[in-house]
Amino acid sequence: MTLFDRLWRWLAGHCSLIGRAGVAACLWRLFVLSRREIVADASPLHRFGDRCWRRMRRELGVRVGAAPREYLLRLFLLPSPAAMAEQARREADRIRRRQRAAPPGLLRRCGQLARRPVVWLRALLWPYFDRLERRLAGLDYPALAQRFETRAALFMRLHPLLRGSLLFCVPFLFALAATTPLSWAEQLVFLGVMWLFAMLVRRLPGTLPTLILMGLALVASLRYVWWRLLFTLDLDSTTEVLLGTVLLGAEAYTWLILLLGFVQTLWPLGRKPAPLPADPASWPSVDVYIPTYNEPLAIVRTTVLAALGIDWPRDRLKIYLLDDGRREEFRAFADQVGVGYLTRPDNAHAKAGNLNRALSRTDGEFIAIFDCDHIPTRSFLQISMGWFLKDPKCALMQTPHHFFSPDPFERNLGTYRAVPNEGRLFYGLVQDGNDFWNATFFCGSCAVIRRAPLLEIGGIAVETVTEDAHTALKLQRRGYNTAYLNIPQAAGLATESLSSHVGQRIRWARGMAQIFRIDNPLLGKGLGFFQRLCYANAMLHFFFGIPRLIFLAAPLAYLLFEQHIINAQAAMIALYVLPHILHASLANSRLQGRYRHSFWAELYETVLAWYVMRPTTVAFFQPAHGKFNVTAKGGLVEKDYIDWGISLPYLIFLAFNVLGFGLGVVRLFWWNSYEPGTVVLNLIWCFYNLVILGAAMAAASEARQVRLAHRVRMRIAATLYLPDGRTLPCETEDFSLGGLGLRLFHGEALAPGTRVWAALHRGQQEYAFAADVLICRDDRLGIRFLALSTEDEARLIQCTFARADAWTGWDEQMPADRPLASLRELLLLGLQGYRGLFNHLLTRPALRWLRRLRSNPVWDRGQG
Amino acid sequence: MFVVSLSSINGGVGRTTLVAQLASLLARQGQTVLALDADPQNLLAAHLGLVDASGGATPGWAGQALVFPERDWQALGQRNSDGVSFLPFGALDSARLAALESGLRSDVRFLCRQLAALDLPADTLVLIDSARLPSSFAGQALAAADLCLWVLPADPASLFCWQRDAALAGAETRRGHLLINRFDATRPLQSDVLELFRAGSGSRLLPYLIHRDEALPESFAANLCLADYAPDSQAMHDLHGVAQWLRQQAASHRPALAAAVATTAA
Repeated sequence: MTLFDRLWRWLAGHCSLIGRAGVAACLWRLFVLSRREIVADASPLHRFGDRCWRRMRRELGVRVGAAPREYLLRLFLLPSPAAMAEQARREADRIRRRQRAAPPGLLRRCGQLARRPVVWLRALLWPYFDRLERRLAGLDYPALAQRFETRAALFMRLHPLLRGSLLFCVPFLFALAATTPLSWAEQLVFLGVMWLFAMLVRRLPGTLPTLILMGLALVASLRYVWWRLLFTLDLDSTTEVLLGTVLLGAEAYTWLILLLGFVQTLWPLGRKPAPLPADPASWPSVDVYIPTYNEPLAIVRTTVLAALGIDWPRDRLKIYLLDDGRREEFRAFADQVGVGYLTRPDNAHAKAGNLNRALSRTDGEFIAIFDCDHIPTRSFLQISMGWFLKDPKCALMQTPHHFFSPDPFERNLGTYRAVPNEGRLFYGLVQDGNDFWNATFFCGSCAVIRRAPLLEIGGIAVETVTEDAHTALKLQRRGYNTAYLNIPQAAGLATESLSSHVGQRIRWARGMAQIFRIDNPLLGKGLGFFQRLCYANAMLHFFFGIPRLIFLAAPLAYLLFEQHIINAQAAMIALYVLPHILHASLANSRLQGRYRHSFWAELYETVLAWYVMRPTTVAFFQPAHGKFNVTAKGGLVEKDYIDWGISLPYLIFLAFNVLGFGLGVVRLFWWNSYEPGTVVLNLIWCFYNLVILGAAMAAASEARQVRLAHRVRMRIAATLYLPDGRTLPCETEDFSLGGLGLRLFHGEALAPGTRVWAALHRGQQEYAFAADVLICRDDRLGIRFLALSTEDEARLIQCTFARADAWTGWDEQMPADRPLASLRELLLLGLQGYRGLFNHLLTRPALRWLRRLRSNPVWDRGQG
Repeated sequence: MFVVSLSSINGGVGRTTLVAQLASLLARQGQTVLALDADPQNLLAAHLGLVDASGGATPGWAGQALVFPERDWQALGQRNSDGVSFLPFGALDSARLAALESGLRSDVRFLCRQLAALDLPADTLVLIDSARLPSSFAGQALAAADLCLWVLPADPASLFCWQRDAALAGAETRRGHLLINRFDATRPLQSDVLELFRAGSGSRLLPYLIHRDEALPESFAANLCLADYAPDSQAMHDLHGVAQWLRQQAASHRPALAAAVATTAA
């Protein structure tokens, strides 16, 4: 007898079924049929099931023996009688309190509103608004800001005691502003005044206005927090209290992250490179480590060849290829180009172990580390080493990770170089902000570390899967400084698919959670207060998973189940939550606008939330759990597809939100027309969630990616040598290691296959590469290099990826952040997501089916 | 007046072509230009479009200098459609050429004087196509020049001659600059030689070089200046750079001159 058979018999016995009954009968017995007749000889399973059943009937108000349809209706659509009675009682109370009739339906209300004199008044006043607007636009804001800053500087000239006592008052003033009780009208006026002030301050350039915007955001948020804690937690049922507390927890997390984020990015340092001594003989020795595990040689060789071109005294620069894959072709390549090749017998501790092993076998004073797909520019060391000589306590210099290929978001959403990508915020702002507090952390690549301090902490940390951040934390605990230079001096390929992107973020999240558990930056010795905050924020930031999912589900509590998880009137919620969101957005747009457009964080986090939730939670409770997974790079996506695996959790959220939205509309007009404000508020929230989820679906629709060698858009001066002896000046439009896209200054007619030479200029030098014409259309020319020798390949890399100025000014043409435009953009992306979903789910299968029908010979005959 | 001589150590390096093209380009840019042929080959006139059907009977300054050394050259000037004024060398048989050469050897500042006597507008740029070294014509040109461009191809022979003769030619002085001509990046040897030139005389090297470009001889064959024949060619692109550099040099030279005049006056 198989296990299945045995299980089945057991189940059938419990359901009082005899013999081998069908599944339907069993299910019928289990869930639908009244079981009075079998209660007599009920098994424990039955008794438990029955209890649940009875409870559910009571809650839903369903008669015994009702049809399943009734259950479903009650469960998802109709409010339960108890809730309805409760609702009615609450409503009656409210009406009694207000001494007025129940408000009319929303549509009628809107109609009334439109007819109100306010609208006419506004129309009358419009010319004055317009004039004010123009007056404001005409002001000389830079001069104003200047005057403002000089006034503010007076503060620094006050007596220290006076200054200290004034500063001491600041928290109290904030508390006062946050906790003064205001009626709704007063709160409205307060909101209005703050908003006007913010809109004015927003136009002033400089750091001080940014600080003011942050202060305003803080006041608005604190007011919200105070109101939320004191006036909205009076919930009725246990379920509501439970759900309300969960929501409050999620909100508390965002408040904390907002506050920590403000502290962290209070004053981005914007460090400049320190000059090196004029005499290269006094420059220190550097070992360049390029760790690799399973990446193909084609990717690694580019990095090695670029590293060979780094401008540094030859006798003091050694390059090592650390091959954890122990591959023979890598050894041969290393020998050929003359770099060190280091391997080890095991792969313990992955990359960290690999680096540590190399550490014991080389002797440079400094270690520069590049992931095998981060191509350094020639100026990397000259730019980054200066601070080590200037500050002997400086143990780490980190530079940004720059990517010359679109990351999955950029590719799938089509926002490459139009919207700052996910990493920009971190490398553009957060690390620069950290640097102000001396809390920059190591990011695993494109960095230089001083050997002595690294040895002092026992090498690269191996306790967690994010060895980089942990290493920096250990260095800082020993009192060493870390520094950040926001100048891209190396670039690499972004992850090629959303799933690998998610995999990488899972690792980061898990590692950060591990560090937070085993070496919590808030505790322990050696760190300053703000360093602790910065590190804590970096780690806490990765716990966004659960709160994000809670926000995605929160409006459903009301829309599906009519649970009021915030006990307040919709209008009051709007009055408090809107300024909080508005001012936080304004401040963040000001702070982060260049590096992340408003609302984009929602999308980035939503996509990751589900996946980050589990590893962070597990790692938080069991830090030893978890392993290192390597991020795959440089692949192809052969055809469009939706990554169903990644998007499944979101599809479920999406389905529920769609359901909730539909029900919400029903509630608005029929079921809950006595509280339209609440319904509308939840509908807006739900709609926003739907937009973000749609955009997440768009991000999960993998767009085709066919080129093996990524084409990088860059303009480089070039010369084209034609076979007839003429020479033409031109510039590159894009380059790859396989060929060039050129733009001539004049149309040419070159047959495909024509042998030409393209010379790329680098400073005063130019290097020529033999190539064949692939395509020539007027002044655009595509050429493909003939087989390049290793020497030529190195030259090509020197002329392209490794140019000193290759990546500077990369994001200067990035459009500035405009919060409303950004919201609109997300809305359109959401639509795109739904369209894609529809396409993949319905249109394509239908087309396939039609094709199959058509290719069917029987069909053809039928046609004939 | 800012006098630039284009000189060479080897022959056949494309110097005359460069003088003609630079003069045309500068004139088109609105610069007052005088091109002066100081090479007995007497080729500049042809490069500037003077097609002489009578077989070299066009009068040049050389013939006049032999007979009337003190007479000024106003009447000898020619002007082409690009607005370039130029003074041809003129046809001279070998005996008279030898006589002129020996005469000039004793009077090093002859060309200087004659240029001053022309009474050119203050902003004129004079380009002298100077004969290859060693020659008394080249000596005249060097004596008259405020700036000397040594035209060199990036080949080993020219590098060898340069290393041997540079000091002799007085090229290492402040006035001497190197202009690499007919550079071809597809030849590894040329790139290497260029590197050696750069290593040997770094800042003396012009920031621009002229690429090997078939469009230059083609434009001569078509009797057109390059700006008309192949405005988008690499050589034209390079010439624009050199012309701009020359104008900058001229502009920075003038205040120095003015200052010198002021101090002598005081």
